[in-house]
Amino acid sequence: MTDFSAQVFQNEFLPAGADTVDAVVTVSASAGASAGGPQRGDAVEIIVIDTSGSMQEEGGRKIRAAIEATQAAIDTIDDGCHFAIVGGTAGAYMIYPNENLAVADERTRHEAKQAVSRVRAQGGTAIGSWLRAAAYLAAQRPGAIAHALLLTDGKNQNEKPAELDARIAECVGRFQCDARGLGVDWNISELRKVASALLGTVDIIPRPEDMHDEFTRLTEAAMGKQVGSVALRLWTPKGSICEFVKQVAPSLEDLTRLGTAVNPLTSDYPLGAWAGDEDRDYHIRVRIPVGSVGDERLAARIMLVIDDAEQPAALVRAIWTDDERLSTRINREVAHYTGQAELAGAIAEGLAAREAGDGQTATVKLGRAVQLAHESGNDDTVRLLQKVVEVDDAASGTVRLRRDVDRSDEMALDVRSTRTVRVNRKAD
Amino acid sequence: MTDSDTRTCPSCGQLAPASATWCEACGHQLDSETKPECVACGEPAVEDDGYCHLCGHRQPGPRDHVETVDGPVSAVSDRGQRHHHNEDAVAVVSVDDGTAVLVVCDGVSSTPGSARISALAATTTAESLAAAATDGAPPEGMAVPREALEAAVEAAQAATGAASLDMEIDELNPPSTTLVAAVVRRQDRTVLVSVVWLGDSRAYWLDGDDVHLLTVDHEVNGALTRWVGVDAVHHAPQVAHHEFPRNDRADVVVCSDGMWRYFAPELGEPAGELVARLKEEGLGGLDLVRAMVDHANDRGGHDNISVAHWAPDSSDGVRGTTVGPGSDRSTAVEPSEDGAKEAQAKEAQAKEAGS
Repeated sequence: MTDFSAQVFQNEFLPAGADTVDAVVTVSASAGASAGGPQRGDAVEIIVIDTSGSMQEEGGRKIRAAIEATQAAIDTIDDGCHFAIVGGTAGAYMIYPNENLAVADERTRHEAKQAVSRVRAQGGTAIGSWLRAAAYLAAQRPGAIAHALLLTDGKNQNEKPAELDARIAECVGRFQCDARGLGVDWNISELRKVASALLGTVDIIPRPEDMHDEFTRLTEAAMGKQVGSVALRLWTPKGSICEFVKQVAPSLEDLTRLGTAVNPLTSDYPLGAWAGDEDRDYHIRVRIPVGSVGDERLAARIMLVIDDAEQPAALVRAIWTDDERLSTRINREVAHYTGQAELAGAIAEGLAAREAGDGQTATVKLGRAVQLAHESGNDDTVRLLQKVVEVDDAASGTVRLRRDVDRSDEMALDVRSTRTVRVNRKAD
Repeated sequence: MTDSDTRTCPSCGQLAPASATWCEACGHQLDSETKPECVACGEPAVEDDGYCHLCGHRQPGPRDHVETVDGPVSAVSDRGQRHHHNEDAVAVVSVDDGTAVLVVCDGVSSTPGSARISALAATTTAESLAAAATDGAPPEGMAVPREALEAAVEAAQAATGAASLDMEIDELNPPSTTLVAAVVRRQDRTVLVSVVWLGDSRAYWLDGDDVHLLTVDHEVNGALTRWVGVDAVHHAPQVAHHEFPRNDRADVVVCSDGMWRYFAPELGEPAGELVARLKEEGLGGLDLVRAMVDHANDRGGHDNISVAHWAPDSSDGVRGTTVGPGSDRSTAVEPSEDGAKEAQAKEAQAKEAGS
């Protein structure tokens, strides 16, 4: 059994007349002591690899690396897990098995690797059709923890944006998808849309030789998921407005629009599948009817829904006070993640300005990003920024734009700008 | 808020026909047990955790309004209008026909745990003084000897110190409270009032417009200079003994600053006038104390409000007793030299009195 718990970090004290309540909620999963080992439900792993013509470029280096990486991933699939390998061009086709899903064992893994080795790269790119194939396969095992790894090296040329959006919408809730772009010729916003809607991650794989480790890591992580369906159930009082529900660690992901109403005061926000030992942070902002000084009101009641069973988790409170020492206290967690969100925004705006040739705005925004990343100890993001700007003084955010920036470095900064660091709770 | 033929679902707030068994909006079972009505929105939706399931309002806790009566002695402690919790506490004992103990403690709201400390200090002090008041004849001019008053505060310090050990407290800011206790003893011709206190809670002798403040606030520029708490074990209590001629109009009032701030004419009504007016309206005992607390709440209730009251000559057949010209022989007794120095030294680390 995996046990879930939630902890709230907030300043519950509001000045008179204030209506906005911010809270950071840490949701933790831990493997229960009673477990004799992982007791996972049914699992489905689907690997979708781009076999369009562009994968044949660079003398076949990309497709050879993709074959080798997929074979390595197949080796990490646990016995008993249902799996399939799908090839993607202007449509989707089965690489292994011939139809539906295979059950992983010594023989099927060997057969799958043989089948993958025979893949040839030719044709176009229609990511929506690949997703539809994955959804069909996931539907063969209702209730299973279904995960897809999707790789492309190019833009979604053979579908209109609206078609991709429609296919993504059909897949919501059916499986989770980690999307990876190989090289620099793919479109970040396309894969980000896929990953956001399907509760997965998006990242760049700059060079073909990096694929092996990334595929292995992602498949191993998928095998580690213990609970397939977790939702954050949020009750807010009558007359209130939920401004947002965001995942803020390990990365920023706005869940607000993914909420589904349970009743007029309660909505569920999907948190996807969880490993047996995992922490994630969420930032919630609610606007509630103003109370009198001295009043206390619940701003939110947080419950967790684990495989359809609801459990109480934590309370977010609002207490109106005319004591400024209380109402002006800054909650460290809320401030930290507000800063991480500003960091991601500064990177996005800075890169957009740079793209548009507005060097002045780009310098200001990326300078602010360096400053925020430095202050919060987000060293990975500092390193990514350093490949795009020359940092003169990180503390003050004094930077100069670099002239020759590798396209893959720019894309890496863009796609990883939403990665956050957790607040250091041992600091004081 | 609901018509007789509809009801509000306590789970989601949607209206449902009164005859409905289930809420159509959320599936909540409607004819399950009725929940208590919310004090804010009036809907029967208060959950076991004390919050309304519709508007979220926290329902009043047991400490928000406390009334204590022992015979003719009454006390009320109220949250007021602006504070989130009531950290004040009161305790009263009617020791015998002519003797009473009145205690008010004002827990400092900026130090977590003060509500528990103030309650403990009030009851410990009251019990100790009630025992002392029955322990033989006191020295002349005193309701109880000075040693008994100091021992009662020492007992309160010890009890709160012990309680602080097993509480989660802020080490730099441990829970603390003011303390004022009055022992009132009616004699043949006079009434003796012995008072002990730390902090800015007060005791009054009221005789119509003739108001005697029996305590001196321990505060400098709004900061307490003496209090009860683990960071104040060396704070010396101040003791005073007063003797007044018997008078059937007289009242002893012990209160926290949440009450006495409204004795300022510009904020409310002077103590003597207020009490005299309420008595003219026919109020006495607990009703009188409630009306005093209402007065403070009507003026804004900026702090917790606590009042303890006894009219030593009005309640038990001695009404109308002729009182001689006897003098008001008040004698304030300062703490020992060491104690005074200690108190001064502590002023440097005084905490704000804005409790």
